[in-house]
Amino acid sequence: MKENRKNKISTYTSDGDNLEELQRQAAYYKQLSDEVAGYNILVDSKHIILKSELENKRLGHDLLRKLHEVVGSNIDRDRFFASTLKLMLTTLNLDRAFVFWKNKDTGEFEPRWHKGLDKKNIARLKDQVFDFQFFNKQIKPSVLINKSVQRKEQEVRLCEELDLPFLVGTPIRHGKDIDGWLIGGREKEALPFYPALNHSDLENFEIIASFIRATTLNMRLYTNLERANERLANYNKELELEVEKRTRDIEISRKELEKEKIKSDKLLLNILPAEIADELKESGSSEAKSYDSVAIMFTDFENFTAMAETVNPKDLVRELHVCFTKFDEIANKYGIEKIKTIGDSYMAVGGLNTIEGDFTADVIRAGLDMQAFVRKRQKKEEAKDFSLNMRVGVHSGSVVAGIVGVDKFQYDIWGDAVNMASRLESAAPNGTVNISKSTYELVKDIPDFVFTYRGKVKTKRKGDIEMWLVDYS
Amino acid sequence: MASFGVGYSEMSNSFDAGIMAAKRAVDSADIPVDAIDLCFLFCTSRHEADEFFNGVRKVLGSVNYFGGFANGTITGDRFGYDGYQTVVGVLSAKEWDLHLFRQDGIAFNEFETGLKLFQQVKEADFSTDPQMILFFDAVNRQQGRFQMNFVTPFLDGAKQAIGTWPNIAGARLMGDMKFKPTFQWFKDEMIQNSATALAITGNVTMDVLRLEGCTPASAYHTVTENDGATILEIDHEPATDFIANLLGPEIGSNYEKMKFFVTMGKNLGDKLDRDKASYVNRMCVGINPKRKGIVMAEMDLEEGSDFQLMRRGFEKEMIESEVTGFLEKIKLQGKSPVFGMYLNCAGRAMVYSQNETEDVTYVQNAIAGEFPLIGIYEAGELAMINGDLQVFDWTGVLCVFSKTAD
Repeated sequence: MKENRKNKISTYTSDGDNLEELQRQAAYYKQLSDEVAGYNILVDSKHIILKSELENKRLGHDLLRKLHEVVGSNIDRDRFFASTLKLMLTTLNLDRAFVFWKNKDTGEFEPRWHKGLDKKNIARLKDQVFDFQFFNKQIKPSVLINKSVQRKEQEVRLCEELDLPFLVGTPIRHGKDIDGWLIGGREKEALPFYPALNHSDLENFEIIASFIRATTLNMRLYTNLERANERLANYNKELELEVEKRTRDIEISRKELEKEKIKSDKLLLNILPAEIADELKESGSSEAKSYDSVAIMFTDFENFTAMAETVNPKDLVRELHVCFTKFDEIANKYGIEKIKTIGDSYMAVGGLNTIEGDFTADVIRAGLDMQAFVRKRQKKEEAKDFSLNMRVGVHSGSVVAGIVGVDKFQYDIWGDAVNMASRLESAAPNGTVNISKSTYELVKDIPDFVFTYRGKVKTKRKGDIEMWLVDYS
Repeated sequence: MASFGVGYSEMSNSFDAGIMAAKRAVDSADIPVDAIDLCFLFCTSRHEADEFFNGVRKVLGSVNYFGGFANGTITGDRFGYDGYQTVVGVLSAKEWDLHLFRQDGIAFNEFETGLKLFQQVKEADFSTDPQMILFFDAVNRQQGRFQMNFVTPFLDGAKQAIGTWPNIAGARLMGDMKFKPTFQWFKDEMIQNSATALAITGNVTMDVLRLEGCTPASAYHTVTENDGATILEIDHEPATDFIANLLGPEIGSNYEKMKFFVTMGKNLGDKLDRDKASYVNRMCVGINPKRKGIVMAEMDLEEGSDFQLMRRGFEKEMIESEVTGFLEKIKLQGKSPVFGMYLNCAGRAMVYSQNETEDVTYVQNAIAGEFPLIGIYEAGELAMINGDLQVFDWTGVLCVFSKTAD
């Protein structure tokens, strides 16, 4: 046809003599081009409208994809709705969008979330509540209000109250109940920028409402899970605190027990040498042992019993306690064993624990230190009522040591050397340390000491025996 | 050395969006805030204009502001429309002189506003040719109902004042397609119902490329009666009847569709030459059923005007090659582009046209980050044609500001 036209033009142009025919031809092509233009513009318009509908669908899918992202990044309800409504505005090109949520107490719907409202709209919406009962009664309660629908009275009112002339609304269901309403719309309907809201928009809204329903349900589950986790965490915390408290109590008990054990061990060590105490703890009994060479010391206060008649016995005992506590300290210092106290007499021995070391010299040092303490004590105000003169005797020899008794058992030593030590104490002048020849022989070369030979001194049942007084050099 | 930075944001909180876009602009310019001489700023009408402005000012402080509402915003790698888009551009140009002009009261007073604005420009008596950008409010809602602020009388007034046009481009601003009142920012104020202009002088040139959006589709017809912007008769036939006959009953009986699909083109060149570059497009903004009239966006289709019906649509692939060639030409002239500004008709957006892709992406691809780009979607593009400033519809206008060769 195109070729025919070209031929025709060529024919008439070449003839050049038929103006009327040329005018007819021009009119023909003018009409033809207008028809083609009309057809093209019509096709364009259909194309645009079809594209607009397809675009609407695409935007709906796009919106859903973006909503998934919103849900993925928001578990906070306010943020979820803010993001969802913003997406609806920008993706579906709406001017305003609302979520009305049911007040469980009143049953009314309150505008809980919204987007696209200016300050004036926000102020207008404040404290407004909506009753969607009319729509609930419809078979399909969703609402589509565009330019071409005949509006019912309730629909007109809704548009006025929301100041939104064209809108779509759909319920957000929870089972048979309606939790809320999703509403959005446009201020204007005009092609191509604001095409009329249609069933495709309604479908998008229904899908979004389903999505919101699923998400809020998830949020509820999540919240419940959160609460359960919180309760569990609190319970765990309480449990931890309880365990901690109990551990602390056990630790306190353990420490107290330990303290008690230390006290008990100390007490045991007070009455038994460590070796014997260990043996007794392990086996429940202890064999008597003989020692070839030990140094035995006795101390005794002069006229102490007589003092009891002139001073308060309690004060006397307290003073004795002070002295013997110090003696215990001194004995510990030199590693010698306190055997016992008999009245105001203190008996100790060196060499039971070890055969090594200079235990004889240590017993003498202990005796000298005890004398020094008594002298110092005598000068104290609280001891002024007491006449504290003490004798100390030391003898070296063999003994047998062991426990006597089962209850209230006592560790003790026996042998002639014990009696001899007692005699040396009896024969000692007040304030001195009196030693026997056997002891003297063991320590005479130690430069720490000076000795005063007393010659032979008469003793009860032991006859005359040689004695030396010893002091620090 | 002139430098430019652009920042984009789609945050829905207007104050935060202002802060975000401004910060990004300063960061991309890599200049201290106190070196900024001018700030371009645009946002959609979904934003609270004052909050957005406060956000930008919080970052930039006291500088000269120049911008307004837009239906969408564009950068070298981002764009969007109809949402919460914002864009901020910061310019530091010690070697350039910047001059700002403003004339209020454009509604119903386009001619006077154009006249007075360009009297100010004339009086400035620049020593070098100014390179100018013009923005004015598209929306007249002084009487409640929407009416477009017409460009043609505005330009007639401007032409009367200026005599010879300087190198100039511009746009009619609006923040959405619902025609909500437009806000503009000028120096440190937020204004409405105004026309504003920026003139840059010094070693600067603005090269402008027009990317047409329509092609002529029909034979020529003649307006035989009009009342202002309303065409009452075409070829002595009532205008709506004429269109209905031409387009058939499907469009002819539906005024909503008719309004949208009627675009008329005026060929300012040789009538028998179909060079698209010679056409200006005029869109229809309404139908007056009572008078069987077609209400046009402009008032320049008067009795005796010949026009053709136009098909909207552009050859997308051509855009990239056209922009590439345009940029090569700039470089061959020894100019160094500092920034680009793309003024794009909102109707060219993919969603509102039969295009399958966005024209902006082809512009972005051609620029390929060689210089910063700031752009907007708007409602009427202004550029020079045959020595006159004209308004085009369905058109993209790319302006490239360059430092001229020393």
